[in-house]
Amino acid sequence: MPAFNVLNYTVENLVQCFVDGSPLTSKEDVLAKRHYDYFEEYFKALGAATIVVERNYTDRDYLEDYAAYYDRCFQEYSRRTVRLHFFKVAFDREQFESTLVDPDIGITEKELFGAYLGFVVIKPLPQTVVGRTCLMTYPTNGGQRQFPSLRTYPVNLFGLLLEVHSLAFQEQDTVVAACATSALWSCFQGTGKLFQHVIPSPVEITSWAGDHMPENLLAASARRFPNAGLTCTQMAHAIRRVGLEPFVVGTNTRYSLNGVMYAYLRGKIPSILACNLISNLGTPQSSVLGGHAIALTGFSLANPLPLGWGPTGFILRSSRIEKIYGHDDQVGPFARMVWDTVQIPNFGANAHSNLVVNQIDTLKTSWRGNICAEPMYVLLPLYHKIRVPFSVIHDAILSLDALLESMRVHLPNQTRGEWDIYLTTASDYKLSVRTDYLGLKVDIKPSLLVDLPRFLWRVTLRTDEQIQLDFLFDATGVAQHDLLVHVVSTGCAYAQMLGAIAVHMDQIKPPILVQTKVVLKRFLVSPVQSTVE
Amino acid sequence: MNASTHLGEFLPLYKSMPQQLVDWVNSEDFMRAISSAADIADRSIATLNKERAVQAENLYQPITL
Repeated sequence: MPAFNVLNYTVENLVQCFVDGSPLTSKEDVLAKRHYDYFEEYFKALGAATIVVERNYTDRDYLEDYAAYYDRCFQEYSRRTVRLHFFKVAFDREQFESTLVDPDIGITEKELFGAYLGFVVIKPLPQTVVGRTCLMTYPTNGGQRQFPSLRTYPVNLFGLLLEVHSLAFQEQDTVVAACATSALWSCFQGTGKLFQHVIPSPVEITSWAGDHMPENLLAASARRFPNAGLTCTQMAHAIRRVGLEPFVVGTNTRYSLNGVMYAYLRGKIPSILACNLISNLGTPQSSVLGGHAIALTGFSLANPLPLGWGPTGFILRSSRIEKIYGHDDQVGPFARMVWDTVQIPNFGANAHSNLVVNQIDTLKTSWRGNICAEPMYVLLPLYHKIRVPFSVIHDAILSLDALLESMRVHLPNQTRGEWDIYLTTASDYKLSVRTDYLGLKVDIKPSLLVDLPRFLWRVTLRTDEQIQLDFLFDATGVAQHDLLVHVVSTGCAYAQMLGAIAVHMDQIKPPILVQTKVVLKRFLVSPVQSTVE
Repeated sequence: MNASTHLGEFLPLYKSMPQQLVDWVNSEDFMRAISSAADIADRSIATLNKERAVQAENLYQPITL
C-alpha cells in the first residue's frame, strides 16, 4: 500500500478514510457516531477541500496506550495509525508528489502551509477511532469568539513543514480512558506548554488517577483498566502528579460558570467542566444520562448587552458569554454549547392546582437530540504560584461596585461600568499596554516599567467600551494583605467617585473587604470639593 | 484636613455635579447609603459562597459518560 493518498474532501470520503483506517470499525459504526455530525459541520465551516491520508503513522499517545493495554490482549491490534491532513485548497496526488520533490513547483510548500487546517489520527480500534486531533478553530467572528489556550503544533508531512494552532483532542477509548481522562489530557496539552510539565498519555493519566481509590466503590469502579470513569478526587490526584495544583469551584449557575471559566481561560488555563447530561429537560420524559467531563477551551461574547447579577446588578464582562466551546470527547474539539433558559414544570403537582414552573439556565450541547448539560463544578489545573483565587478579587470588586453604584445613580448621564476580571501574566499585561491604552491620554511608561509578579488578576472597568480604570492585583500573594500592585486611571467620574467614597471608608458598616479597601486607599485624596461656580 | 486623608490634589468630583450632591457626599445620608450598599454586597457574596461550595456527593460521583 502506498505511503499516502490524496482525496477531494467530501464527507463520504472522510467516512471511507475512517473505515479504511480502522478495519475493526464498519461504515455504519462511523455514521452512528456523534463525531460524524460534528466533523461534517466543522469541515464545512473551515472550508476543507483536500484530504491527505498519511498511512503507517506512529502516534506517541496511542503507542503508549497500545503498549500498556492493547499489546497484551489476546486479539491482535495494530500499533500503527493513519493520520488525515486537511487543506482548504484543492490539489491532486500528482501535484502533491511534485511538491514533495520540489516545494517550489506546482502547489508550493508556502501555499500548503497557509491552507493547512490540521489533522486527525485514526486509531485502529473497534468503534473508538478518533485519536489525537489538532484542528484550526472556528473563525473569531470579529473578536467575539476567543480560544485563549491554544498552542502551536508543528507537523512534518513527508518533509513538508506545516503547523496548526490548536489544542489537541481525542475520543475516549472506554478502556484506558473515559471522558474524564480525555478532558484531562486535553487540558494538559495546554498547561504542559504553559507551565513546562510533562504531558502524559491517556493511559498514564488514568493510571495516576487510579492510585486514588474512589470514595464510593458501589458508584465507581475500583479498577484502573478497563476504566469506567473517574471521580473528582481521582482527577485532582492526576493533576497533582503533573506538578500542578487542583482547584475545584462549584459552578451550578450561568453567572458562576461564565465568571470562573472566563477568568482562568483568559489566563490561557483550560478547565474541566463536570456536569450532568439530561435528555429532554423540561418535559415529562426528562432523564439524567450521567456525569460527563468536558475540557473548556473557548467562549463567545455574543451578547451585545451584559447581564447585571444579583441585587446590586453587578456587571461582569463574562456575562456576555452566550456560547462555551469545549473538547467534548463524545462530540469533537471546540464543540459548541449554548446557554439556554428552560422552564421546568413540576409534573408531580396536583392537576387542579396551578402548575409550578421553575426556570433554570442550562447548556444546550451538540449531542444528537435534546441533551442539556447541567453544570456541577469546574476543576482547574493551576500552577502552584497562582495562589489567590478568582473569588477574592471578584468579591472585592462586587463590593466596590455596590459602593460606587450608590453614588453613580445620582450623577447625571453617567453610564454604569462593566468590570472585566481575569488572570494574566506580567509579560502579557505589558504586551497589551500600548494597544489597550491607545488614545486614553494616560502615561504608559509607568505601566511598562512597573515591577510586577508573574501572575496577576487584572480588573478593567469600561464604560461604553472605553477603559476607565485598570487595577492589577498580585495573584501570588497573601489574600489578607494588600495585593494591589498597579493602578491606571483616566481620572474619569468613576475615579472621582472612588476618591469621594475613600474619605469615608473607615466609617462604612459592615466593614468592607481587604482588597476593596486597598483600592479605595489608592484614591484617597483631600476632601471633596465642588468646582461648580 | 481630615486625619483619614493624605495630601493630594483637590479633584473635581464631577464637572457638572450640583452643589447639593457634593453636600450629600459629606452627609450622614451618604454614609447610610454606602453602608446599605456594603451590606447588600455582603449578602450577595454570601449567596455566591453557597454556590461555590461543592457537595460531597458530586465530588464522589464518577464521571462516566
